[in-house]
Amino acid sequence: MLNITNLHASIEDKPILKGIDLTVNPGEVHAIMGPNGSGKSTLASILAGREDYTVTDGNIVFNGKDLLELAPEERAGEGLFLAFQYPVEIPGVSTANFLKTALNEIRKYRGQETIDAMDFLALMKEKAKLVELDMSFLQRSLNEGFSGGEKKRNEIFQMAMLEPSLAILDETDSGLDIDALRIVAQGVNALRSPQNATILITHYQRLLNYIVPDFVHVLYKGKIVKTGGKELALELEEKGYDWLKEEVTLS
Amino acid sequence: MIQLHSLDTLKEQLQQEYPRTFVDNPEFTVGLNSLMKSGLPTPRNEEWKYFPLNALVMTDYALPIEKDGIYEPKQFQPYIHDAHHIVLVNGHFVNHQKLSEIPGLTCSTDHTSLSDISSNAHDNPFPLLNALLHNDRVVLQIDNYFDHSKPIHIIHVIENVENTPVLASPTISILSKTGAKATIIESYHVNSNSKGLVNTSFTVDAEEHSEIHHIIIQDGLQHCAMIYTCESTIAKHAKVQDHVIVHDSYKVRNTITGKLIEEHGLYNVYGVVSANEQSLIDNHTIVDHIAPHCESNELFKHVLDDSSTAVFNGKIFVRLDAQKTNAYQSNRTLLLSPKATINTKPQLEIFADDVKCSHGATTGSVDEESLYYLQARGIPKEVGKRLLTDAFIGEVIQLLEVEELKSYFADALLLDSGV
Repeated sequence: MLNITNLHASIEDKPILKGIDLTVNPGEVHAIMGPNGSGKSTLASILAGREDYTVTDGNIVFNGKDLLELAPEERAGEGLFLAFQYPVEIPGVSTANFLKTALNEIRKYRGQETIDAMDFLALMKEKAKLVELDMSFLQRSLNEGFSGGEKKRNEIFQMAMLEPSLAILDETDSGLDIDALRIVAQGVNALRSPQNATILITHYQRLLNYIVPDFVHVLYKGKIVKTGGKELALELEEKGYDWLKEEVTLS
Repeated sequence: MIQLHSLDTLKEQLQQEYPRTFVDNPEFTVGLNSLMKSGLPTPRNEEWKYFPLNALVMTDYALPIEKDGIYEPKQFQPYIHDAHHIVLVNGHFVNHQKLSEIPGLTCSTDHTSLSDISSNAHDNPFPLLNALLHNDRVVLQIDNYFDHSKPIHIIHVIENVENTPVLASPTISILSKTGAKATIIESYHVNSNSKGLVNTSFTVDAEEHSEIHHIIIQDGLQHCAMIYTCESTIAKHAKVQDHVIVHDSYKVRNTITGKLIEEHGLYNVYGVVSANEQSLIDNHTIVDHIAPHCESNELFKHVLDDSSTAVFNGKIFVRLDAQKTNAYQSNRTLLLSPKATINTKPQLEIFADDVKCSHGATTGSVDEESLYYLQARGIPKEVGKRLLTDAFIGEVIQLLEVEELKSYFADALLLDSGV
């Protein structure tokens, strides 16, 4: 589904990613962990198509297409979704109106018919329940005045509405209390299927108690320095990142 | 044919044009002398700094002539379907029989008292010029038994006089009697790309406990410049709301005044300006708190594209006696092009000490971070821009209170800003 080969990227001539290789297959959950500044969010941003970064080498193939050639909205049309670490507040645009526009633009991209108002409302009701979001929320301006937890739940709600084949969750767990974490995880788990895949970007092992990954990768100084199963996350939780840093320095 | 660049010539031309008036009406000479004394504003006049008049005063204009003919309201962009229509052609009132049958609405014509309007000629001589050039003032009296659920729509038709640009001077006075309520929509319709200058003078006298909701639509004035002056006087417990919509027009200057002369009056003044190409849209507002315990709210939003320029000058006066005043002003501008310009100037002069006043002005372009967020959800940049512009102007459109106008302008303003 997703093939990242030798990805190098920089921002304002400062190299951030220094050769990333990663393959994600349908049905898999990958966790990408690592200390601050290791390049985790940069990777997420490049996958979603933020313009601030320059890819200097390597390539990304998503469902057989050269991802780097696509505009952000085309990537969404192809089935990619990024849950933002810091969702943007947009005054004057209701969540419902925003999602209806998004859903119909994606359908248009795929050559499907637009959804009618009744079906859309029914879909919203069903998906809002999944993340325990009150319907009145959806008439409010997008993320405006939402708490941190509400913003993150709204991201998962959007993901549920758009049904991506590849979801990237960028630090979705940061700033969440235990109840919000449970709700977010519940939403993500309910959407797991053999056809789609998830990349979790996180600092802490905590989220992985709720969403069990198939693979754990450790990103450090712009490279994946270690890959393992879910037990690697527990090891990191216990020992921190320092032993890995030493390992990298030695090799 | 008249020109405005030399007022001496104008005087001679008027003496030729209206010989009887000079004899019949001694006020006319007094008014003309006041105009000669004040002259027309130059860019040195602070109030007209950004609105150069040279091209307008150098033009040869024809004065309107009264024309026979039926003007069916239906032939003009109606904006709303169900309204009482009043048609003025180049400022001349076209009598409409049905008007006399509407309970609570009395429509008549008379002459403006020139001595009343001569005092403020220095800062804005255009109402005086209007009074010197027009024939009829249309007076609408609204009584408290008028059914306000149906708006009154004043349709201004502007057309060339024998292929010469016209100088039209529509004059309208609203007399809102105690307890009366009405929604008054005013719109301009330029026939077959006629050129010219429209110099409108509009007044509202809102008596106690009356409510006037006045919507000014300046739409499609592409070759016809407009200088528009509106002044409302608001009595005890009365409410006036002026709402101006400028769209697809090339040169417009509005001077909109609300005077709160008695306690517990409310004045709202709202504006939405959508401009592109080389257009110049200048809004001056004056909110004058004379009496205590009054409130005013002001919100103007601009969406500016291409090389368009807009001006916003918002004066709020709180006089010495106007204690317990609440006065709020906000002006926000969205620049869609690096060449678009806004000159914004809040101007608060507060002489009372127990008041709440606030003002704010913001200018910015479409937020890139928001656009990227929308794109990441599958919404292409152009659609995203439209959504964000819609959200930006939506706040002012929502204040229109006339559903048909809301949906019409929500769409029209977006199309105009090219998004």
